[in-house]
Amino acid sequence: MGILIERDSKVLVQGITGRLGRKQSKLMMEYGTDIVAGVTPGKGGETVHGVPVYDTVKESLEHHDIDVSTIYVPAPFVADAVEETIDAGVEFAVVISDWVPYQDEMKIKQSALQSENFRHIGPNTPGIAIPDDIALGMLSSPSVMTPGNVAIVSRSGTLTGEIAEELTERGIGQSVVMGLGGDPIVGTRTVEAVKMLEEDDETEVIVLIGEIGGTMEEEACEFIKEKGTKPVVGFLAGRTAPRQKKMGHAGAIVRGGKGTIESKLKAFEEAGVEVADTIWEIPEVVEKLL
Amino acid sequence: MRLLEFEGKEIFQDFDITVPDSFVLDSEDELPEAVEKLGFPMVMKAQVPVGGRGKAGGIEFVESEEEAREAVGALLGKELKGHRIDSLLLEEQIDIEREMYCSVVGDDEEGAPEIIISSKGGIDIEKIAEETPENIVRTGVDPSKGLKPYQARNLAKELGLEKGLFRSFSDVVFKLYKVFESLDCKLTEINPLVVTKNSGLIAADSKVIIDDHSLFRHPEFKDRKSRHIQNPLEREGEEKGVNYVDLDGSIAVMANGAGLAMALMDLISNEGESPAAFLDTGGGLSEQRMKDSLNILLKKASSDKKVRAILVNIRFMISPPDAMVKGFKEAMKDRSDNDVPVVLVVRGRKSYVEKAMELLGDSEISIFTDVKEGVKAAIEQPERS
Repeated sequence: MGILIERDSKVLVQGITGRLGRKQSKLMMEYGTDIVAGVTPGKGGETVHGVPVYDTVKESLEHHDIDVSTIYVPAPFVADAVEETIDAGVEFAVVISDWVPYQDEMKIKQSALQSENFRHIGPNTPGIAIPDDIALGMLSSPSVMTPGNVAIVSRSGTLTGEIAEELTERGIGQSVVMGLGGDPIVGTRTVEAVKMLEEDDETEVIVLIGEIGGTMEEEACEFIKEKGTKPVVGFLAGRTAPRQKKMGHAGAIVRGGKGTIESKLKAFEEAGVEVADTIWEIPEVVEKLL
Repeated sequence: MRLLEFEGKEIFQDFDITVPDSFVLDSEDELPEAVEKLGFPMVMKAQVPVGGRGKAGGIEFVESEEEAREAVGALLGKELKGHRIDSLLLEEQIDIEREMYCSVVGDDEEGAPEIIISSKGGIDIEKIAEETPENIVRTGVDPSKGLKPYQARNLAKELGLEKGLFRSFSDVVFKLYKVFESLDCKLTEINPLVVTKNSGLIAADSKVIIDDHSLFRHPEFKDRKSRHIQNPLEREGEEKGVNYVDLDGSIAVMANGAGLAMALMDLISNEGESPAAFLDTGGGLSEQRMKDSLNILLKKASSDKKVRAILVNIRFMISPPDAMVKGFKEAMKDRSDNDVPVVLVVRGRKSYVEKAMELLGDSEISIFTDVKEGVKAAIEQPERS
């Protein structure tokens, strides 16, 4: 099993001929990811690292089975690219692009909610990976992750990799490593990821990496408190950040007292989430629970 | 990016929402002209992009030219809540019958705009929600379809408005949604929306937050982002596109990622030290970005001798280290003081980490591959004189 992706998922890369798409596709393939096709409007017929490029997602589906699309197109075109993916019938997309306009994210979100089978993570996500088998996005560094049964769900980019590496260095492997994206509106919220991990046979412990702002941790904790059966370890970045200053990604408008560090710590406590105060403590806390 | 009150009101006017007669004053010399236009009594409001201006002393009611002159002297060019007051918005005093509230705000959880209206206004909406929730009506809008005029009318109806107000209020709601949609806003708010003695509706204040990510569609706002930031390094950070926050501790912290930088800051605090600065370099490890980022922290250290070390954590994921190393070397070469130690922790993709260490081998930067050791090295640095 696995969540959202399988070890042998067939991958499409939208924006494969761009600087970032080209570079990252190579690293993903070196990691073992099965990239079967790419799409860039106007570049159909070319190849990138031996992968055929098509003009449209629809056309790529006429030639290949595709389980997931990884999206690298520049911010102004992301909404259109995601709509295209949904319309073509691909069921999962990983939206790596950052600086996507807020109102475009709203439109993407509504289209995703209205479609029957589609789900996405991001925008502004480092990606998702099953260690040693498949990496979509920026999590393609060899030896940073190692197979195991701890799932990492994170809102930060580089911090996701850092925490995977901390666990790996202590010999603790991961079932799946995923970034949800640092923007205020994301395709898959923390609570949805936790629900899926609850059902995943390969995950024993869930590590939640949050940060100040937004209400995703509070929302996830409500589910964990009511229905969660697996142990959860929580870590929050920005515990010592001064309140008035904007440091996190989202700069989400704090609503009704939610979103502060106090509110998140309280939610963790009430849901029985084991809290690690620093990144160094995460492996220790996880070890106790395995 | 939050617009100033008068900028928001200019936009409101473009969308046919009524605002008070006003004059934007940038220097004291303009006062006679403003007085001639508006007369007394007059309200003078400091133009800074933050809330709570009244409580902080940024709003004055004046009755004479003498009082007006005094208020200008007390406000213009001064600092209010971390922002320099470059201009004052002078307005006629309006006849208030009652105050209402209207806003459109992005709901992150639903991924849709939400309209919030209230028959009470003039105080914080969170406070209204707490004290008299029965006065508030809210509804979500499908962003692909937008708000229809009849939906605005339905909303106004729910507030139970009297005949004279029903049409004009639903008009304002509809227009405010248009502002939100057309200018890629995260928030548009009128609080208070004043009902005058003759049943007119006037936007007495404006709060407009435009999404930074959408500025490629609204280039006219691009150069406005950094202008009122008082701290020169924070302003430089904004201009260079890196997220810099000035703090008052002993270790300046920098990382390629906001979460990573915050986690590093938490580690410093956990060791009983306090961070002197927070810097998230943002996307990519380009030479220019790395040089600009380190430069800002070197400037911080040269102006603030309490800074004992600069601690940098670079995590390599997909970008090779060559450009980053070049940028760092350039910044080190340009610095004016040589006495602040730079401690660098490099982690992530092994081949890139090794390459970075090799390329920086001959530099004055101390390099670690373990975060704990890097933090320790930074906090062990002696005080500078």
